[in-house]
Amino acid sequence: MLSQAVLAGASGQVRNMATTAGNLLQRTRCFYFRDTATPCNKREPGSGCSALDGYNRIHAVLGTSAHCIATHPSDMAVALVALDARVRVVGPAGERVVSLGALHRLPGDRPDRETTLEPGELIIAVDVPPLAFASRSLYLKVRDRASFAFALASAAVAVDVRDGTVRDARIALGGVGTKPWRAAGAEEALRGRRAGRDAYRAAADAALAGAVPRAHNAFKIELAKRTLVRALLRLESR
Amino acid sequence: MGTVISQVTTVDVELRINATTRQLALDPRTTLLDALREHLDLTGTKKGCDHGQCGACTVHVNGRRVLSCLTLAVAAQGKDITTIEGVADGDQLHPMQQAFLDHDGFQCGYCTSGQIMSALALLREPCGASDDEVRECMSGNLCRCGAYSNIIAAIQDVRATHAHEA
Amino acid sequence: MTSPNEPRTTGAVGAPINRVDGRLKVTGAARYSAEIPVDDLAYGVIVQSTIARGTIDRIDAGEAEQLPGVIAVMTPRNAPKLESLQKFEREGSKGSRPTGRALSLLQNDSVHYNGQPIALVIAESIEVAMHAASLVRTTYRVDQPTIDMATALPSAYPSTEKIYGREPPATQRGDLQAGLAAADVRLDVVYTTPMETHNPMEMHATIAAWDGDKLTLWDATQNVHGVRGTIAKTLSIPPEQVRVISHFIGGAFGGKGSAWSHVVLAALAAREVRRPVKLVLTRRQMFGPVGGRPHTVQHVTLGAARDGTLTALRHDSTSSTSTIEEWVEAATLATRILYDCPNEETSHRLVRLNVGTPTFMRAPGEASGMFALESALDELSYELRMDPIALRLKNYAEADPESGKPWSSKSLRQCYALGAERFGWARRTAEPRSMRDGDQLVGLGMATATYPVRRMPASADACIYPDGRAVIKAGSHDLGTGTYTILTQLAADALGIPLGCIRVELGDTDLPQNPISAGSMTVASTGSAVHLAAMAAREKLIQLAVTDPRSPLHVAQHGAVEIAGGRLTLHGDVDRGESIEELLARNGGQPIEGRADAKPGDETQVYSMHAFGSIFAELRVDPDLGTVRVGRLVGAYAAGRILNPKTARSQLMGGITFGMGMALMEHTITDLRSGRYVNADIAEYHIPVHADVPGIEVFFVDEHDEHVDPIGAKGLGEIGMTGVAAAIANAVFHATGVRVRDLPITLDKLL
Repeated sequence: MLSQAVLAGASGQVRNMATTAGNLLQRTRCFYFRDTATPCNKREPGSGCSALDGYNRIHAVLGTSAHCIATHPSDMAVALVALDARVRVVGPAGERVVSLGALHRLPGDRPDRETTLEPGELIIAVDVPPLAFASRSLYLKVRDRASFAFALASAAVAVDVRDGTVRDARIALGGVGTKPWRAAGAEEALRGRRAGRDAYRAAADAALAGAVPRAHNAFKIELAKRTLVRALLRLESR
Repeated sequence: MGTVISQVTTVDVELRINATTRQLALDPRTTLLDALREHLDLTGTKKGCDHGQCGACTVHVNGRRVLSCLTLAVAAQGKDITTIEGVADGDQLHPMQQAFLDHDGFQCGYCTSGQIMSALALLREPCGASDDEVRECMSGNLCRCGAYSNIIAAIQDVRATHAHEA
Repeated sequence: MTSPNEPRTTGAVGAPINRVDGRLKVTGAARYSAEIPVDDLAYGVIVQSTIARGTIDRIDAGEAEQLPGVIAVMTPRNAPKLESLQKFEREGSKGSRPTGRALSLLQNDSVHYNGQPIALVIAESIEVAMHAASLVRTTYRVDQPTIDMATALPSAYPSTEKIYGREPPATQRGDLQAGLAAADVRLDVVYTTPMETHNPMEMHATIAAWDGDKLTLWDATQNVHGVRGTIAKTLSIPPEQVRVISHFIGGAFGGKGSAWSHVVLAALAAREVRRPVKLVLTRRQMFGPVGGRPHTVQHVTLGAARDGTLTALRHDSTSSTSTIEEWVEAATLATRILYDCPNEETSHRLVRLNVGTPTFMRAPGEASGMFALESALDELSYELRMDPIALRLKNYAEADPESGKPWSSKSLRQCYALGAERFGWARRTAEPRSMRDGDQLVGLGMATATYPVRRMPASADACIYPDGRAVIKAGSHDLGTGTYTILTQLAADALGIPLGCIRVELGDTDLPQNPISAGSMTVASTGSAVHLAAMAAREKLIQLAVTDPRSPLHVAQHGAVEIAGGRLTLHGDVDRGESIEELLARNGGQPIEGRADAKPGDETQVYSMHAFGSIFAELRVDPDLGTVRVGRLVGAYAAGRILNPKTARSQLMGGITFGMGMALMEHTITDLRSGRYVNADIAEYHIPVHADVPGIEVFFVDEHDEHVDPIGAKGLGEIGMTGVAAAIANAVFHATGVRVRDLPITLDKLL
């Protein structure tokens, strides 16, 4: 799933210039964050969020706040958060390890603070712990054109199925969250159930349970569910 | 090493481009793309967006395709840079250039340098054999004239007959 | 057609030769406007408004001016006043506007759209200029803008100006209500198309350099003579003092057909700072200040008899324009001529929004209008349970139904047949959702393509030199369209000189006057001029030979002399003759010059002239995810004589690809509160990438048309674009049963 996620991101030339840490820390594609002529709480704290009542088709439905609905754009980070990756960080206070899930912050009332990194800290490595059943995993990305576009929804999935029953699962979503979105609720909903469309749909419903749509992005809730179901079905048919 | 010319602070930069070393005094914010186009008169590398979104500025740095608009010139020092001007062997076109000509793989020609630089790099990348796989590998190079089908034909032609020369 | 001495073809025309400028392009040696080496250049960067409507209250360039390397900052406070514009306004803004388009030239404090140029920074480098531009501080008195087409629709008013100065804004034939009353089946639907942005790969760019009172502009334009006229009028200087050069253009698509604000600003800035100024727009600045395709809301009403015969057709289009200029998207022109419906009404209305003024964008009018019309025909075909091609054939127009004139040529029937055959239309099962490939829904759809043949006066020089080489001069342009190549081919055949011995010079106002390269009219206009100029030179050459006592061809019958491969010979006796070099050397070594000032004749009074085609799409829709992947696009076209099948095919493929973008992804989004162009870059304004574009197949129907122009060729720049959006929308309906009447067809509309 990790290699699929990496290859789904950007273009060959961009990937050649990219770094792992740079990918994790990339800034949002929110139109209003990029356009310095418009208010943005992430860029200028307290200036307001233009996306809330603006054009928000590409924006997040999970992890949003009244101050920011910007989507985290990474594909790779979605796969890494599903795989429980750990980020090694060095700073003035020495070296520490942060789980990827704890690296990015939810926007809350301080969307300008995107990560839990302290000033002066530098990412030096990302460790991906072994996960036996990750050999059966995949990353599925849905976007507005066939390539070189950010995800409208994506799903990174790894499932451990024995005798038709899901023993364990790792699920994360992209394109819909304000951070790389680990769908723990979906994993919980799958564990112990018979693998199959019904269980997958239940997991998808659980994954998007807390979703909050805005004017133009409500479709992402259903799209993300279907993307997750499709990813799980495709994995099953492997 | 910083000097001030016309009140603008510059740094000395040495770039190795198409096997020739060039010395420049540049505003440290100068991208490799602007260094090529505005300071070295190497205008074959094109600016289509300046934001890494179109691929027109694709060059090779140490043999890999990268975007010169997202590369600072100072950061390209000590590396081997190849631009479209360094692809032909004198008057002898590279087979990829000839294939673009023969397959009409361009119209206005503005994305062409980037397409060719990408296509050349692709010969050394683990890209699959099918047309669809080549399309995916080339998707970072936008073409508004719509020469895509002919570009793929040109690349596949070269891959079939000249892959060993890459 | 043109001369008693029409050359027997040497085969250059019609041959699929490689582009003659291709080597320059694949080596990076072709120089585009921003790439001309000019000494002592200064760099200009435009500062744009951040509100859509209001007045500049204060503009503070102090900090920018203090930045080392900044030469000047031009704002409405200090920009030179233009007498031409002041006069225009004094006279109540009547008459022709000196600037052509309504430009933003820092003459006043008014803001009419978000992103309007409000200042220009000139500095020693791009880096400094960009930095300084970010330091210009502006405050405004803000007025409420009108941005939303939907809510502004009630303010729509009928367009009264003739479209393109020729076509009536509204038409009526027969009795629409009677036609509707007589119909067995009626359809009444609204289609919408969004604003779109040209986004050629090359940004607009101008280098302006003054030498005394003479101005040279290296400008990314598809209209050098037009830009010269506009600049001269705007600056109140004689046109002879302005030279505009545009040798290579990195795509234009209509957007580079006008002299927009930055061109004039570059000229003004260069005059102010007494240095050449290079002004290249950023990609973001391509959204708004340099035009785009307007939003349309199109109401189509159809009535038909059970057998498919159209009894009524109404097509009303409302399009957006700016608050400072009227621009009509001529969406119903194709409707007027396409089907033989006796009762028909068309109209165009306008809504004024606080957006940049729209302009020509590839197949302006036809692209958006035929999405509506050809979608409506498809909807009708399902209502009638009739094959979409059969429905179109049922209403085939044997003569122009609007004017009653005969066609100069029309091979649409053959285009349907050839396209259907090559595409495999017969395998289509009519029912929606009836075709599948695994879990994917398969859709097959088609539409008609058409574009008018237009021609304008054009001049050309053909010069044969004593070394046997020839130079063709015409102030036209090659936008990637192949103009350099096809003119070389036309000249080669007319002159009897090998392709490699001919050089074509374009894109310079020092060359003979030519029209804008747009509207698919370069071949008919400039091609005809070059053909006639070359024929004139040929005549002179033959005249010289037959009157030269020392020539082997002395006293030969004029019409019996042939020229091929640079040799003049007697027909039927190839040994009797001599080379052009020999003939000219003996006669003083002077070049032979031919000149043609070509213009349309009365053929437009007699004939209706259009190119036609058919376009077929096969695609797969994911029933769960809504993603559309186009697998095949097949087009069959009849466009008169095809001068170069290789470049012609490419141009059509390009149009089809552009149409695919229109169908599936292109959409210039404005924030409905602020009027900001929201997706003003080419990561978020989606155009097709390699992975989107399937195999595109283009076929030609042989067509001989001796009426359109002296070379029998119709243009190909736009027709490839027409019908594509409808063919794809129709295929999406066939695949899914979902009729999307609102472009683009993004996946959220199919969930």
